[in-house]
Amino acid sequence: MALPGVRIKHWTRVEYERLVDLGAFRPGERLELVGGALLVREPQGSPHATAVGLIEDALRQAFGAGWTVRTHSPIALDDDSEPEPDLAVVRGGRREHRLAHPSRPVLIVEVADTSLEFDRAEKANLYARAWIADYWILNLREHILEIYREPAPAPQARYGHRYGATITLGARDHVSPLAAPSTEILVADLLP
Amino acid sequence: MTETVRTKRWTRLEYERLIDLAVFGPGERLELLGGQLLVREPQGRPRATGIRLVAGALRAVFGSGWSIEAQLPVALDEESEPEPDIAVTARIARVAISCSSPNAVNPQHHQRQPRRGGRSRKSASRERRRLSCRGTSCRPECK
Repeated sequence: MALPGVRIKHWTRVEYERLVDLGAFRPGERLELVGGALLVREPQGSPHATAVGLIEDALRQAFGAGWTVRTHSPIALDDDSEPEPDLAVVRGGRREHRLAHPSRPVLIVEVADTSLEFDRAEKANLYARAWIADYWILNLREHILEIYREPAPAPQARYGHRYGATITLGARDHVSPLAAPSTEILVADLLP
Repeated sequence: MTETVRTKRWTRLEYERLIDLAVFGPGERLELLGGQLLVREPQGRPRATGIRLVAGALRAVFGSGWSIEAQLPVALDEESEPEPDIAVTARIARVAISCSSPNAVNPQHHQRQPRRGGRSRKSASRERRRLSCRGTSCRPECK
């Protein structure tokens, strides 16, 4: 509903977390807060779920001890965003964030089929604004891995930021996470 | 925003619960329309004057069996609780709630809650809920 002159309520992260605490949502309702908007998380198909599992295995092996690979878990990204990316790698053990969600993952990965355009535009700019240094989209439509790096201010872009560098890798290419530069992951190992 | 992304749609009951839980900030003016929470913009003087003039004219036309309400919630449907600038409702509204209408809300909400102490946020939200029950369901034939 984008009628001119009509504004939809803009939620802050604090308000959203209060709604979660109060149990204001329906049981099983999966949402995330993106730039002040409460978005419905669509159910994932089996290729999507498989890809998330494969990426989780690969990242766990690449990062090893001292890091946690979280799947579909909230990130306290900024004042009006609490997304739940498919995967996020954060420093420290699982209990490190028992009192508050992590806010600065070293790597965020989204698996995209129907959400590709949204993950490339809206989410990429949002993550760039939060200075997430390494953002990957596993593009299930074209079977490629898109890598976004070098977040920078861009006044024209939505949220005022975008990634300066984009790398596209095919199944036979290798990728090294910025925060685990000595490791190499074969893209084919991530594809379902 | 692409078509693949949907924003959450609130039901009217969820919205009324949010009001009861005092989720919204003081002075935050919203209305629920088709499942979306819309921000009600502050109104300028011409608009306020217009509302006053329309209310006055309608009051003159409708008799004593009707109430002319300005910017009060109307329980329109399952996903809408707008606050129209002017709404004309029959004064039998509080009685009519006992009739079986899809919009009818639990009658107990219509009994005035005893006031304890001053007018707290909670009592304000009860008051709002009571008012919100005056929906389109309040047809005279329900009497």
